[in-house]
Amino acid sequence: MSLYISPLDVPQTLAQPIPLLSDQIFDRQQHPFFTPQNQPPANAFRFISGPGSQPLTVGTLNCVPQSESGVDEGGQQQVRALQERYTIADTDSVAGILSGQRSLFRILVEAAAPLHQAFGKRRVLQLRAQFSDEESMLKAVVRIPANFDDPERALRSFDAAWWLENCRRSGGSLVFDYEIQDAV
Amino acid sequence: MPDLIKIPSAAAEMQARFERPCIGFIGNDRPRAVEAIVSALLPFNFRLSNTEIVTTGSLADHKVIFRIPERGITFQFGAEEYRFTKDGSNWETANDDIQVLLAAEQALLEGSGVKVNRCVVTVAVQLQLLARPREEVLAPFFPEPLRTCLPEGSADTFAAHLKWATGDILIDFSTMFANGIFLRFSSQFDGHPPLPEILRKVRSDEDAIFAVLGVQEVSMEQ
Repeated sequence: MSLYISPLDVPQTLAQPIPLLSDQIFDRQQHPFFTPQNQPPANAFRFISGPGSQPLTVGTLNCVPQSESGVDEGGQQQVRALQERYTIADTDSVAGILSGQRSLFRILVEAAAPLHQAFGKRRVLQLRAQFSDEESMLKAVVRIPANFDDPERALRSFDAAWWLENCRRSGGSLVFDYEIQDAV
Repeated sequence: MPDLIKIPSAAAEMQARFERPCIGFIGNDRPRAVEAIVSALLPFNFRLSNTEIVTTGSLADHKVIFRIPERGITFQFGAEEYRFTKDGSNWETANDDIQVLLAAEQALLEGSGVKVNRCVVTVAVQLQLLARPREEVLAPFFPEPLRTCLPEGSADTFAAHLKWATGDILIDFSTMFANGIFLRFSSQFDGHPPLPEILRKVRSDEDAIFAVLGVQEVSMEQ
């Protein structure tokens, strides 16, 4: 059976634009109208089993649009995907750094699970951009309550379990740390 | 002090229900309506290739859909209603977006004799709390009598849904964004009030719900 791609029909939904990345194409499920779950993006496509046949949605594929300046909007798309795992206040700055250093995105996606394993699954993960005269980098911060037991040990366990194996991929442009909530 | 949030995703829809079904819109009068709407939408970069006619299902399912994808806008009409949908909605572009709606609905209704019985505006927003865990922010909305059902610890997720004659509010955990809250609210209007009036009411509803949640949108500069 051949697979074809046709524009996705989302006429009755208030589809919420979300980024879909190549390795997530077949992971997504479409959900009912206006639920908290993911909705397909307006510029999505769907695979159908053949011309003229009933659409068989097996996944969606997102286009990466080009901005007027000619720079692709991959950084913004990656920010959208990272917002599933991290809270990001300064999305433009983070997108700028991600656009310049594409390897960071994958590392950040992969890092979320070991961070939650080390610090607890309900911890809020924040992603921030940091700038100095010479370089820009990303900082991923785990927010922990003041009564958290031994955060240094949790950070060391994250390092040992995952980060030391993967830090070379970041090119020195990514750090992980923790921060106590409501600390002045 | 309110908790700061980002709104990474939002959508809005206005549904206008007719007093009685207008079969002409899916029959003899459809070409006239389509032509009028296409003409009205052309100044908004509408392209004919973004039009779809649905003639399957029951008569209530028949409709014509017009899309302006680069603006996330969809306008559709059938025998019983018309709908205007905006993906990626925000208050900064709301006044520009309703110009599209005004043009389309005027083109549709002009000369048709159709009367709008009621309008329902629905807004769905994904809020992302930047610092405080959502469990803490949503804790006051947990239904207390159900707490005894929890074996121990806290619930993974829960939701609050309030519905009344002219509207509803749904507050839920977002499954789309980290530390996110999914908020959907709708308001019903008798007849078809002027769109600026509808926008004011929806804005004021949103402000009131944000105040109840204790959240405030972070400005673009922050």
